[in-house]
This record gives sequence, C-alpha cells and structure tokens, in this order.
Amino acid sequence: MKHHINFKVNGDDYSLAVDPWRTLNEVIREDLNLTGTKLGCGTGDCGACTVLLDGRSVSSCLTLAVSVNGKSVMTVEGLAPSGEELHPIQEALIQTGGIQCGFCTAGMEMSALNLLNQTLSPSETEIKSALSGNLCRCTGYNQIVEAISMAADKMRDNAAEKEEQ
Amino acid sequence: MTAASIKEKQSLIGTSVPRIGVDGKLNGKALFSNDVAPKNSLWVKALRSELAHAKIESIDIKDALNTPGCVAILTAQDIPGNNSFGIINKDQPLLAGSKVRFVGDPVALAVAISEDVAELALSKIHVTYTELASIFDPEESLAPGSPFIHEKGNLLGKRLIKKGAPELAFEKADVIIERTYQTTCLEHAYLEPDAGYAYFDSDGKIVIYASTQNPHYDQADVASLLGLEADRVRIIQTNTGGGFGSKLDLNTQGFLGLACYLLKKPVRMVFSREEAFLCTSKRHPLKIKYKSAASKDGRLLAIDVKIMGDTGAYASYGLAVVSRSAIHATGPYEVPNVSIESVFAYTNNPIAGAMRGFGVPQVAFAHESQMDLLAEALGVSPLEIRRRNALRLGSTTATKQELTASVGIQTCIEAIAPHYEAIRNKTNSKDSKKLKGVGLGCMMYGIGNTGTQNPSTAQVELQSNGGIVLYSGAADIGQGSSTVLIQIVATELGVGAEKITLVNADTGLTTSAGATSASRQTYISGNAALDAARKLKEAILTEAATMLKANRKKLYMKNGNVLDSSGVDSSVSFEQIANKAKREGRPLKWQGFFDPDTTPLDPETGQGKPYATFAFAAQIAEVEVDILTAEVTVKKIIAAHDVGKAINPESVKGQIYGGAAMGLGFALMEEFIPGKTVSLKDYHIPTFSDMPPVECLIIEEPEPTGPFGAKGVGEPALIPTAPAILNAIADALGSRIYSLPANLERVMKAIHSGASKMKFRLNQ
Amino acid sequence: MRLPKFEYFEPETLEEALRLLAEWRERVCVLAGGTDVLVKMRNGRLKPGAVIALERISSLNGIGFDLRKGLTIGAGAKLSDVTSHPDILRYYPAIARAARVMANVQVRNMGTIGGNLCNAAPSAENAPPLMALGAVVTAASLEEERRITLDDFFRGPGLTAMKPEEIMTSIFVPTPPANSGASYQRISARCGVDIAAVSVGAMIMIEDTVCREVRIALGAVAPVPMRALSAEAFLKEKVWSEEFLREAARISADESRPISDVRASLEFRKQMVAVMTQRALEEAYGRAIKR
Repeated sequence: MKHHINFKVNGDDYSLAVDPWRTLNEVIREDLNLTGTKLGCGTGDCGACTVLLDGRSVSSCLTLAVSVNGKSVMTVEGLAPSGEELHPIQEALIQTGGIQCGFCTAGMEMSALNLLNQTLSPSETEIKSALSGNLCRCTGYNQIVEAISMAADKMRDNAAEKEEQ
Repeated sequence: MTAASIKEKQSLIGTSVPRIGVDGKLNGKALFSNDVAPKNSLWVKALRSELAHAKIESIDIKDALNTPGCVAILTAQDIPGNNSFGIINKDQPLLAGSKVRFVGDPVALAVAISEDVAELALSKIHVTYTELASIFDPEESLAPGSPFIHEKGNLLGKRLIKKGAPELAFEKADVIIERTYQTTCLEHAYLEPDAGYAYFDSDGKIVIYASTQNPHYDQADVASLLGLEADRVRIIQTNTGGGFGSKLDLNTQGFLGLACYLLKKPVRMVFSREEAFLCTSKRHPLKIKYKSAASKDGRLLAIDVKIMGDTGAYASYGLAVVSRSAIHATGPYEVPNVSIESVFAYTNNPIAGAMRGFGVPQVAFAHESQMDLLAEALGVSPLEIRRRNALRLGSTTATKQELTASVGIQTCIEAIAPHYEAIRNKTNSKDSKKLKGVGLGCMMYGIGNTGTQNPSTAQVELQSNGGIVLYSGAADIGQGSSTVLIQIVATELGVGAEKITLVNADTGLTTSAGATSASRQTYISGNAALDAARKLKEAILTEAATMLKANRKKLYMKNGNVLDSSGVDSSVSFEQIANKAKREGRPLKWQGFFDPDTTPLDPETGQGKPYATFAFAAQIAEVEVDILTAEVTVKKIIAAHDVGKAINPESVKGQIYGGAAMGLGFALMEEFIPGKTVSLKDYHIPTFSDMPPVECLIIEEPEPTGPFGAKGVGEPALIPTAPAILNAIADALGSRIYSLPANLERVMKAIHSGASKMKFRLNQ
Repeated sequence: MRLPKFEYFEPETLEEALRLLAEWRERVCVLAGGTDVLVKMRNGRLKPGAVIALERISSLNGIGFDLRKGLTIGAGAKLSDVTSHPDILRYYPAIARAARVMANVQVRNMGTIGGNLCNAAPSAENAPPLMALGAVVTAASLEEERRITLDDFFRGPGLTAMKPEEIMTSIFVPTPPANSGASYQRISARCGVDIAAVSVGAMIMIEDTVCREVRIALGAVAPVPMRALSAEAFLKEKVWSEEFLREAARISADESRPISDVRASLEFRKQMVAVMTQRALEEAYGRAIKR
C-alpha cells in the first residue's frame, strides 16, 4: 500500500504517494529526478548518498522515504540554488582541487555542511573525524580537508561581516 | 618582443587551470552512468554463479519468464555473435555457456520493467550444475594433473628476462639477500558502481552510455559479441566515478548491448556495490621470490626473481601484468645481471586484471624491501644504497633499453634526502610504547603499453566563428586528462582554455585515443592532440600570411588572432581565417597521431624497448607503531615525482595525494578475501582519519618526446607508498613484514620478533 | 538491490506500537534508526511482513539526568544526541565516547542507542560502558513494564532477553558513585571506522587508594558482551598498584572467550583484551581520583 507523504526538498514542497519499501535515495533520484545525490554502497559505508534531513546528515540509502513525511530534506542541488553564486564549500573545493571523479563530491559537500552548521572553526582533526563517513578513492583527502577549512574561514568572515552590518 | 617570448607568456603549461566539468560535479548536475537512463528503460540484472567451477547442465527459465513484468530471460544461446571477449585474450564469455569458472560468473540476464521485478525473475531461474574440482592457488593450478579451467590449459602467460650472467655474479657477490614476498587480492573500490544505459538511435545504431576507461575497445568487443560491424555500436562515456583499471573491462556494456539489440528497447543496468565487488576485476596477488646480490661497496650485481601470479578465472589484462611486473622487477636501479621469470596461472578465484600499476606496486614492495635489507647487511644507509644504484642517463634497464633522456630518479632521491635525514635523526626513547620509523620507497614506471603499438589520435578543428574544437577519444575518469589536453591545445594555438570545446570519449564523434591506462593519456594522447594542434596552427599561419601579406615566420598567435611581430600593425582573427579557408575549400580540421617508439620484447631473453619513456619517484613515509596494540599511524608522506613536466600542477598533486592514499591502503588494510569480502563493511579503504599530510615535490626532467616535456603520474603516484610504509615499519621495529597488508596481526608478530632483537620493552 | 516489500507503520504512541507488535508478532521488524535492519533487509537476511518505525514516539527519544538518581536515555535517542548531551559528557564520558566512535556521523545521526543494544551484536559499542556503569533497561509490553539489567540482557548474537511482544523504552544508568571513574577503550582491526575488534568498558570506585568497586565489561570477545568477573573479583578491595592492574588485565584476557574471524584472530583478541582492560582501568582511575 502506498503512503502519502508531504515533505520539503531544497525548500520546495512535494506531495507524493510512495511504497514504504522505497528508500529516500530512490525517491529523490527516480521520482524527483534529483540525481546529484549518488548511491555508492547501499550499506551506509561510503557517504555518497548523504543528504541533510531536518538539518542533520543522514545516509539517504538507509532512510525510508515514507519516514520523511513532514520533514525537510536538503540535497546537493539546494546548496547554491541560484547557480550563480557558489557556496563557500564549492568555491573552496574548486580552489584546492578537491574534486577528481566527482562521484563522492555531493556527499562530501553535505557532510561538510553538516559540520559547518555546528562549528565554523573546526580543527583539522574535527574535519577528518566529521567526514570519515565519506569515502573518496581519488583525492587522498588532503585537498578536501584544506577546502573545508578554507570554507569555514570564509563563512566565519561572512558571518562577522553580517554582524557588523 | 619575439614570437617565442610571447608564446611563453601565453602558455597554460604549468598552470593549474581549474578542471573542466567541476561545476556540474559540485552542483549535482553532472550525469554519471546511473543518471542518464530515461524512465521507460527496462532493467537488466545478471544471475551469477554461486559455484567456483561447475558444468552447466541446464538452465530452466520458464518460471522466471512467467514473472509479471519480466520481459525476457537471456542466456548464452541468445548471443548472436562471438560469445567471448577480453582486451588481450578473448577468453571470457559474456554469459557462461558450458561452464562457470568463478563465483560471480554470469549465466543469465533478466530484463524487466523494474529493478525489483528483474531481481525477482532472477530468483526463479533454475540452473542445474555439475560441480567440478576448483583450484584457488596458482602453483597448484600449474601442477601436473590439475583439472583444466580453460581448454587451452591453466597457464596464462610467461615472461622471461635475461641480462648478463647472473649465476656468475651471485658466485662473486659479497652479500646475497633472498626473500619471498606475498601480496593479496585487492578491490579497486572506485566510488561509482558500474552502470549504463543503451538504446537504438534513429540510424539503427546501438548507443551505449557507460562508465568506462576505454570506449573504443568497448565498441569493438560489444560489436563482436553481437556479430555486428563496429560502426553499428556507439559508446559514449558518461562522467565516470573512478576506474583505476577495473573499468577497462566490459562490465555492463556487453549486457546492455545484448539486451538492447535483442529487445529493441532502451535498457539500463546498475551494479550493486556487492555485485561490483563480486564480479569486476581485482589486483593480482603475486608471490615474488627475490634474490639480490651486491658488492661490498653497495653496488647491485645481480637479481634473480621468480614471480607467480594468480590471474583468476579469465585473462582480462593479466598478460600485461605478467610482462610489466617482470620488466619492473629491478626497480629504478641499474642491475648488470638479471634473471627474471614471471608466470601467471588461471584459478577459480575472481578475475584479476588491471589495477593502477599493473603489477608494479607488488614488485616495488619486493625490490624496495630488498634494497633496505642489502643496506642493512652492508652497513650503509637506505638512502645511500639507492643513490649508488639508481638509474642515470646512459643506464640500461633489465631489457637492455638504454635510457637517453628524462631519468629523474637521482633528482627525486636528492629532493627527499634532506627530509629523510631530518626524520631519521629523531630517535625513539627506550621506554616509549610508540616507536617511530621512517622508510623510503623508490620506483620507475614505463609510460604506455608494454612493447606494443598503442597509438592515440585526435583532431583539432577551427570553426567558422573562430572557436576551436578538440576531438579526443580519451576517457577522463577523474584524473584530469581532459583539462590537460585542453591546456596543450590552447597553448599551442595561443588561446585561453575557455576557447577550446572538447568532444571526447564518444566513439560516434571521436577516433580512438586508446585506453585510459598505463598512465598514458598525457604523454600519448597529449602528443596526438599537440600534433593536431600544430597542423592546424600551420594551416592558420599559412592562411594568415596570405591575408596579411606578411612574412609567415614573423607571425604569432594571440587570443584568437594572428599578429605580425615585425612591427606592422596588422592582424587577422581566427574567425576571418576560418571563413576564408572555408570559402576556398581548405581543411580546418586536422588529425593528430602519436604512437610511442617501442619494440616488442624477445620471447626468450625479454630484451627490447618496451616503453618510450619512464616516470620515476621517491617517497618517504614516517610512521609510529604502538607496540602494545600494533596500530600503525602514518604521520607523514613526502613524495618526489619526476613527471617530465607538470602541465597542471594541482592535478599532478591530486594524483600524488590519491596515489598515496591507495598505497597506504595497500600497505596497511586492504585485502579482498574471495567469498568473505562482500561489501564496503568488509573491505576498508583509507578514510579521512587514516590519511596523513602528504607533501608533493614535483620534479621535472623534461622528456624530449613528451608534450611540452610531460610524461605521466597516475600510476607512479601509488607505487612507492606501500614500500616506504613497510620500510618505515621495519625501521621502527627492527623486524620486517613480507606479506601485505601489514595488518594488526602481522605487525604484532613483527613487534614480538623485533622486541627480542631491538631490546625494546614490551611490558606494559 | 532493492528492499523487499513490507507494510509500514509509524505509531505515535508506545501503546499503539505495542498493539501492532502484539498483532504481527514474529512477522514484524521494529525500526529504531534502521542502519542495521535495512542493510539486513536489503541483502535478504531479514524479510519482515511489516515494519514498525518508532521514531515518531516522542516519549522514547528524550534524555534526562537527575544528579540524585541517574541518567535515563530514551531507547530512541539518536547516538549523536548521546555523544553531545552535556550531562552525559560531564558525568558519563565513557558512554559518550562509545557512541562517538561508532561508525560515522551519518549513522550516528540515524542510529539509536536502543537499536544498537537490541541488535545484540557481540561488538555492540554501547554495551560495555553501559554494563560497567550498571545500566538497566526497561522493556514494555501491553501487559507489563519490566526492568532488565544489561548484564542479563544479551543472550547470544542477535538474541536478547526481550520477548517478541516487548519494546525497549529506555536505558537507566545510576549516578556514578563519588570517587569513581569510568572509561571506554576499543581497537578496530583495520581502520578507524571499522567495527570494534575488542572493546572494554570499565568503572572503578577508589577510596583511600583502595579499589572498593570495580566493573569491567568486554565487547567483541564472546557471543555476547560480557563482564570480566574474575578480573573484577581480583581487583576488588586491593590497593591500587601497577602490578595489580597488570594482573587484572591478564585475568580479564584469560576469561574472555573470543573467536578468530576476518577482523582478528583469537590470540590477538586475547592480547588486546589485556591492553584495552589496562588502558580502561588506567583512565577510569585517573578520572576517579580527580573527582
């Protein structure tokens, strides 16, 4: 039996009937056509499918779509919705060269955002431990750590500027 | 200003131009192989053998076909063409016909309206097998009386290399070190599981979108499986989420082609992570018996190396690994007397194929351990023994190839030397429960395929709007070849990178650039693109000279214009040139070609020129070993790589960082145990927390035949890391590990044998 | 691989959940986070007719602390809430640590402490420190509510003392006695995010350098998380010393009952029980004398 769910994705309201055995990953990729969120393992070990659910990072492959009724999801497509101005995390990833094949990138961005939502001055160790659920086989991580640190600085500066105004 | 100095200013070579395509990867719009299929596509799923070796008696598909929503069940007898594929040896059936040879061998396909219906249908296929004796060890496989896995027998291939008189040299040697090294089966663990989509286009061609490293090979083998001419199949590479060698094989392409061809409907397929683990190729486990001889003054006199490889059920790239592991067994050292034998056998293990380095990471573990053991026996430092033996200009390799240019190993060693000495001078306190160690790893790597033609082609076209289009078959799988090719062409034509439109890795629009493997795309396809750009440049300058009525030699290109450097204030734009040439019917699309200068190896002695150029590297790893828990922490890696010329330094660094991570996994944690390793829960690759800072030292010993002097770095990046880490562990403990990975158990054993020698206290 | 088909319920009260459970019995699977259950369903090891998700039962999700009584963690509390709760960080650092070293951020944002315990993996990270601190779980059915000490809770890999009609509602941990300290130590076989190959939770209470109370719990070295009772007995009423500490660690290794598997061999695990026990006791002692 399909369940009717209402939820937000990147600020937009969706109202869908879904089979309860479908994962959030399947529904956002197949029904909403938001294929930026990837599926890398299906067991919660690689982080490629990471999205924010009510502001917290979760594996969309281990989240039942039916369970997000009334909740708010953010995917990579919501990070810089206008497409004109990049999010500081995105800007920093370009600057440091932290992207190679790009398959892990969306999940990395979501996990980085989850961290930076909690602190804008993460130490290197904090960055590494916060992102250890996101595997990358190409970059060796060095440039991603650098990017997140750079993004944190930028976001802190932006926040300080806002305060001054 | 001279034309030359202007060109220098305009050059994009050595600048870290941002990767093309990063925007889509950042905002989620980039389409990967599982993102392209439209909703109406049918789903293809493969039924795979659960037995390692068995005769197929019958396949009953009746129940499966009756599954509501199941459109077709396909077996070997439905394959219209030649049911065997493989990049070197065509020994692998797309669907097993008479027998299965490993757990994971595909026997049937279900095609259905959804993924879950396809899965359900698969569960209703009844296969009757007669089990056959299985072999899981390569030596056993080659023993007399072993059952045959393939009709031709169980030997995949053999490579012999002979140089000088090793027996005599061993007799005269002051020191002989003989050890056996064992490496294990490894999984590539690229982040994107294999997937693809196929449909018939309006011209009746089968178009296959796939995650691939080698679209033109895919095209040929899919066509052969279907009994079609190659041009009836078009392969388009999607964004590819890493490959590392495994996406050189046909993983989904053949299945998609077959289902699409037979059903005349759009089809899609995606491997689960578990399926990718089960059935895609692995790194060859090698057993390496290594005997080295040296003189008192620390010079290598001879080596005798016997390599036994397990290639699993099918050949894939196995033969390439047979040869490459043998050729590289000396490491980056000059060895006057050499006897190397490399023998690989089929077994009923998973298929071993190409994985970043083609056997060289395995042999580097052996040769670098041997160098440290020799140094210890001779009482010289590990650094010094490498200095004394490293290849230099004029040296000859094991295959008697004389090195005439771009031999950067000495420079690499000198670049890391001060770092090495600095770390080495830190000492361990006697009571410390965490012992520090530092290790060296050096390597050489032949760029391109071994002793065989491996050409690349490219076209560069000037369009009537003045824009430039580069056509290349090269698949960028994340390593950055597309950006490098653009930099090369843009520089040659004096325009910004943004002026170049790249069309790549689409067999319908590009000609073959060969595989993205063997670290060959920068060197070989870079040269092909450069060749095409040069020809176009000549054509443009010729047109411009006529139009400007100028001396052709005084002309130069800048920002899409041709200008006169002789002081005459006149210029003509690419657009004007294009229009004139077009009107007058002169060609504006030029073909480039490059095939490295190699010769085949002699079958008896292995002598020849297998590669046109070699990359070199030296790395240091600093480790800390907790002697109570055997936990190894890598504190730092310093990597010096001779890349000829770093066309895009950030990309070169990216390769080195990523290679170091893969090398660290190879050294400490990665092990694929057939039947036990099922998912990423069991197969651990390094995470953020495992990776230390990596410092890159880019060394540029220009390669005269390379595009702007460049060679390659993709595989070299990984090769020295594991040897450096293993040597560092041995340095810390005074006891050495000979089998990879150096997991907790092995490190603990080394701690105990080290404790008796080094007298560090094990008491808590 | 897709999930098998099932019916789905999302009760908002415990009673509603218990009624569904009574109705479906063995054919139902309770979802409390799902990071383990969904993996098992995906690879075909679990095929429930129905799934009851507990997430919307807000009474199960809270964390409360009363200095006089102790800590009550709702069985549905997310692991990330456990690791960041100020009272847990202050009074129960060993519990916070066990939850923090589990898997990765995403899994901790989904997984619950009750789910981890009910899963009853031999390596369940949260079990050793909770056992060492004398935790008691509450299980509810339509008929009754009963308390089970964590010592009695685990019955085998994947098996617990809970009845099919019961749902775990909370975990109670008494306030640690004065002059006590606790610690959680673990080693994983291959890298940071792997399942623990050996883990140890320890609690000790020190009075005038005498070890008055001691509890040691071992994870991943027996079919169920277990107490190291002989080691505890040895250490009890002894004056704290390096020598006794080492001996207790050795006894603890002796009484562990590990197996060899892909993660570690029996011998290595026994060795690590000693090292981890010693480290846990050392840290617990350090915390005890600081209080």
